[in-house]
Amino acid sequence: MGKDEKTFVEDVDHSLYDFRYDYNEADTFRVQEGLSPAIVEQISEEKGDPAWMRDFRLKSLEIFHKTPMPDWGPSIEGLDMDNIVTYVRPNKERMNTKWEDVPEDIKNTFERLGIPQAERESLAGVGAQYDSELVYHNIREEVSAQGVIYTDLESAMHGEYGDMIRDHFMKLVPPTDHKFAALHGAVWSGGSFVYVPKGASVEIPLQSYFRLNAPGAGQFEHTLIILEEDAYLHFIEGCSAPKYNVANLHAGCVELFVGKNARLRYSTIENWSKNMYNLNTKRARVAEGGKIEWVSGSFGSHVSYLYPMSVLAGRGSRSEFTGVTFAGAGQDLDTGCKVVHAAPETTSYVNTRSISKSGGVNTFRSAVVIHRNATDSKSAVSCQSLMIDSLSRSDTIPAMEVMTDKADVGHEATIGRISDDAVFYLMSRGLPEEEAKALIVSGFAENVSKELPLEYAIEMNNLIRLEMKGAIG
Amino acid sequence: MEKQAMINTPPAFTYSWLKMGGAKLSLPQWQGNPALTEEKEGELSRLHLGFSQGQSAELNYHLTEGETLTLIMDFRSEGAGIGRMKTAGYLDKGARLSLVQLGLCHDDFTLINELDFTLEEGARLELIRLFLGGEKNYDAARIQLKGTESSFDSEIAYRLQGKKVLDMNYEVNHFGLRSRSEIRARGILAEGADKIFRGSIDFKTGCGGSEGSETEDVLLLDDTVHNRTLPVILCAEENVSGNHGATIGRLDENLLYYLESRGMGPEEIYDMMARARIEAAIRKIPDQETIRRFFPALAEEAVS
Repeated sequence: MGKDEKTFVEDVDHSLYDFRYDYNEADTFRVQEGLSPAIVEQISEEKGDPAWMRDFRLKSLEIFHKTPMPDWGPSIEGLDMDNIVTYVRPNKERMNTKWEDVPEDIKNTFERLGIPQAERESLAGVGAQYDSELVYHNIREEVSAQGVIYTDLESAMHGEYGDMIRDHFMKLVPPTDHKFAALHGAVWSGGSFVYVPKGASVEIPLQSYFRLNAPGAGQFEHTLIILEEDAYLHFIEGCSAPKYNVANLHAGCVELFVGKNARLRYSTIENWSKNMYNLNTKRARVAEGGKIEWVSGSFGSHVSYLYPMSVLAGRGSRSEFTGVTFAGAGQDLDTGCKVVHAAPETTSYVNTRSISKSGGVNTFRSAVVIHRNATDSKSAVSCQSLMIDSLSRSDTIPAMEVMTDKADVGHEATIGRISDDAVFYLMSRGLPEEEAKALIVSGFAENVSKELPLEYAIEMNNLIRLEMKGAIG
Repeated sequence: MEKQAMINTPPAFTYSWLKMGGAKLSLPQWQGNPALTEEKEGELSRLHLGFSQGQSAELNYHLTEGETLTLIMDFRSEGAGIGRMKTAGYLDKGARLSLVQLGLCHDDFTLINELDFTLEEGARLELIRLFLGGEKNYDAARIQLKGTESSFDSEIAYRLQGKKVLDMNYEVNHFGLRSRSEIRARGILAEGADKIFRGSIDFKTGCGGSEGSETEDVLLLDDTVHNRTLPVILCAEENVSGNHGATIGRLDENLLYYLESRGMGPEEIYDMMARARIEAAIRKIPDQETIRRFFPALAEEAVS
């Protein structure tokens, strides 16, 4: 073996996801590239929006044009909104509740990704979005019988939950929040509405899967989840796209309302292709005694700005965030989380890991804010970064703001490489060096995989495959 | 004529709504230098600086190979105003500077205090900063660990009571192989005090074997205070070790219980713990005469 051979950590394998069907314009409806009031009105008309939503979209577009681009994170110079198509859908009949009725090529896409199989085996319901529209939505009868609603947002907006949606839509993440929240408000399409009534416990997860197939397009789905008192839900979202040489954009929005003593687990495996600009916004508001659990695995995208935020608004509410981010060649992933303690006796716990290799850039950016009235609150943040080589970069930028003496805040962060001592220990127990290192790196990401259902943990581990070569002197 | 300036900006940004990206100040046209007296005893120098409104001073030190110097600086003012102090320098191979800065300005005075040093191979800078006076202190340090095995060690302590402001920005750039840095900041906030600590350790490509550490321990005594902390690690080199830790809030409940069970009341306990944080830094001052002059009770205790 060569003296200078080093441990090699293979890139995340995207080949499972990097397939596409030939894009046929005759089969799709798409608006013109770019952004203008006319395009926004066209989208609104296409979707049959009520008047208030149409006005909301146009107002959001105004805010978008007035808001400057962010200049504090990864460069998004390669994103030119004049070249992004904000709405693309199949020409065929839209949403279906049976897989057999989904158009063939779209159905094949999701079959290859294992979605229908997952639904049969382990999910209470599935929503599948293809480009700008949901093509499939279904929920098990026994779950529906509990009073649980899981449907596409547009249908819900026109139905009996219309007022509820109007009362909640973009209230947690208003268009003024940042430029891409405003963009989302203008051109959002697709996404799911979930309502879990008081006392209902959805024991098996619901899942939404987002696939962006069209080159140069954007996906702007909106997920709105409302849990009433004492409810429980585990919601999983997954996403992928084939890789193109042009930029794609994902500016979705997730708003979660967790009621009194309710518990919501929101898991995401993000595996967008490496031409994707992932500028997603997620926020949860938690009432008294409620709990939000974020589980986040970020493996894809060219550039990411992703900071799920929890607002602990009720006494005794809690937030847990567990995340892993893997940045390889050509990736600049700026991720983290934010927690605002706005009530007494609230608790937050953040545990994140990041791995950087082959020139990948990882930035962990967090904020913990404890307001004056958040007495007897506690917060603990732990972020660990592993650098596999000196081509890569890893930055941690955690911020804390505390405005009361009656709170306890702790923070720790480490950056480093694979520990020589740990490798030596395992080798002294009989493991070859390559296996020892593989074990250590796998264990490093275990904080997330152990929180996922088994099938998703396996998928996540398949995304990180390690190839160990040679020995290090 | 005053001009607006943004100072203490960190090398990496956080969310703009947190307002931690720097301090905006109205700066006067600097005029004149503070009164300066010096006492020298071999490799020890004590500088006493007395500031008045609008005064600014800059001192430069170049320590040649193997040279050592202990520099004790105290900053005072008699009335209200704003002043600026910059201490800069270059430490050649193997040089060693122990620098102590005591902030003792008038309660209505604002002091901007900057440090800017470059260290060559094997050089070492030890810094102790104590903030015990002044209405507003804007404190910055920028250290370039250029040489192999260069090192920077800093101990910062403060006690802010009343409408006082302490705004800190520390940046340590690791360029040299096996360079080391450690930043420790401890303090107490009470009665409306406002403090922000920004500490950035930046491992540049090529600084293999380097280690950097930041720790902060802030004791908050009431719910009128405002504490902000931004400990940053930037890393472009694989073979390094960086860590930071922060503990913010009140005393540990178990410790409180233990001391109360020994007959101490809560106020007494908090006072003792607050003093302990400052005294830990004072005891590290490498000049007994300075301790005797400025902290006589501690000096007596040491003697007894």
